[in-house]
Amino acid sequence: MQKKFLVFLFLLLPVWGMALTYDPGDLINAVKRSQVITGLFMERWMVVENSLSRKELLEQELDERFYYINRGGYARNVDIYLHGETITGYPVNTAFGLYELNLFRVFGSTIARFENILDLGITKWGIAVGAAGYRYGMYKNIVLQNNSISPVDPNSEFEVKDYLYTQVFDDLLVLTNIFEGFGYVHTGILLNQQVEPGIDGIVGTADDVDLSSSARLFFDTNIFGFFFLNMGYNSDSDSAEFVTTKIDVIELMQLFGYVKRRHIWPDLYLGYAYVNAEDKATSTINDSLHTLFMELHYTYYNALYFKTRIETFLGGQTQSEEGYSYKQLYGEVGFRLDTMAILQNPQSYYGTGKESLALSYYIIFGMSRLIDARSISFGNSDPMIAGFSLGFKMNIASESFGGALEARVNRNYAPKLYSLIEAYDHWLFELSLQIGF
Amino acid sequence: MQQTIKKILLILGLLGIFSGCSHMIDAIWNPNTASFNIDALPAGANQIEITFSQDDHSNVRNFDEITKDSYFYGYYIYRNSSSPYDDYDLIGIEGLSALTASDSYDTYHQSFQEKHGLSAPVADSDNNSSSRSYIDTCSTGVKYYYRVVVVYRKWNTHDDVWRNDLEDKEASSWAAETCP
Repeated sequence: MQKKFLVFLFLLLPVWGMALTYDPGDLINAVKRSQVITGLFMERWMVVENSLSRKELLEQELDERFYYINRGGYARNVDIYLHGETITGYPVNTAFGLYELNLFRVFGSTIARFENILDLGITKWGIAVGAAGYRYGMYKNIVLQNNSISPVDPNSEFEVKDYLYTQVFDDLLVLTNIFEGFGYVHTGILLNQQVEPGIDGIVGTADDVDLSSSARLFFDTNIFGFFFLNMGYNSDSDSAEFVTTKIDVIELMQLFGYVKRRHIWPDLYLGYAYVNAEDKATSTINDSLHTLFMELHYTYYNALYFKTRIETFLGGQTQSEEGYSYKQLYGEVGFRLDTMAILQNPQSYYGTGKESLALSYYIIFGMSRLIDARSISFGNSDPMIAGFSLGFKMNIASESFGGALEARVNRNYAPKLYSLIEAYDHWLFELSLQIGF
Repeated sequence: MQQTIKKILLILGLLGIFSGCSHMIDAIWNPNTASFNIDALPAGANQIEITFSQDDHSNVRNFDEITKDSYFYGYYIYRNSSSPYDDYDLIGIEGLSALTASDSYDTYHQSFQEKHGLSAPVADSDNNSSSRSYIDTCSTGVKYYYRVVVVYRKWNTHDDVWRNDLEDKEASSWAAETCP
């Protein structure tokens, strides 16, 4: 089994993988994937958490209303989300020579929230259920060309996909206890499965090799709206593989009465993150890392938003990373074609009736820097990676449903590389779709 | 209290539905993946036999079935001689319907009437058999790669006639054999 796995790893070695040290990347690292899937799930939960009904929105003042609209589409009771990323033309050595494959990862989640099930006096108890799936893998698109042998539609062609190498199926099931006014507790189970589809390129046939299957526990809590703790626990090794804890500074200030009008203030988080990405299944990287971070998200009506994350090393950097004080920094701005008109006089702009709360859009531009010595294994000359992201985002909110659509193209953008280092020096395309009720 | 129990039962039901989410996502994101296996075996000098099970690929239009947008038409067989991951060319078909000018929508739908490019080793036009096989003529010493596609033909539900469009409902993985 071990020999088989080693052979598989060498087959996976892409052309640029001729470096002295071999790094299999993050695609087959269950710890990294677990961190990503729980992180994405929590992003969705925050959208549900911040979502107000149309009626509640209209009760707010105009500028305050936009604070909530900007933090997600309408998803008061149900949030359904699909997010796909793909890298086309990914060069890989196969048993039949060098081929350009498509590397993809797709995330989907559903959250259903049931509030006020029981009145306990000091709080009202509610519950939410959530499920998320993450599908990673590579495939080759093959063209089947028709010709005059076909009496019907002879100039058409068909396409078929063969899966190649490790295919990943990760699932997260979460049960959330909501205590109104106090916070919530998420408890969940993470199921990680890595399958080698065999020579036929089909998952689910007799020649599949189950490379690893494992279960992890997921725990996340928010106390009084300002203290967050997110943890992934591996019961086999009896250790926490990743921990993220952060404080919502503005929410804390609000608790003490310092914040009267929420929209004036940004979202500001200060936190600590730890990840030990040494996956027992792959046993190739010891990537224990401690960092401190600051996140800021500021919105102004639906005219503009600014988002940034600064993350500094606290420990665990490699020798080549020691000259750098920061791990990651990125800034992202969202604007629209009439941003200036709104900025000059928002009350007048929205008073004209040409703008509706139902629809808003942003053109997105982001720039980043990431320090990661592992990028050297993927062709980088030093650990520093500069990148950018360009995209478009649209939100719709109505009386009883909402939705969002986002498309981006990224090149070495830190939030992407952070969890998928093999995306280094490749174009990464992404598409997200959200529906809420 | 009854309402609460109902809600909790609904929640548990939802959890059951949501489990296996990654497989559902796979079906949405990757709809045209290879889905069945085929075999290629030597069948005498300059001949290779391609066989596969047709158990799940025989969704034939019934006599009075005219409501769907497309119906099973037949099998298309493809080949190349370079690699399983290169493009393939069509080398033969076996189709259900006779596509002549006089064809009407209820004609020939129970048997394979269209055969082009390949010969079947068994004189069998009955689509009720559990597997199908075809003989390909080849050049000695060359390694060939094969794939099979289950093809549907579009149906015009408004005028009850076949349309001139095909649809690949399922595609096989590849099979290889060196020509004897």
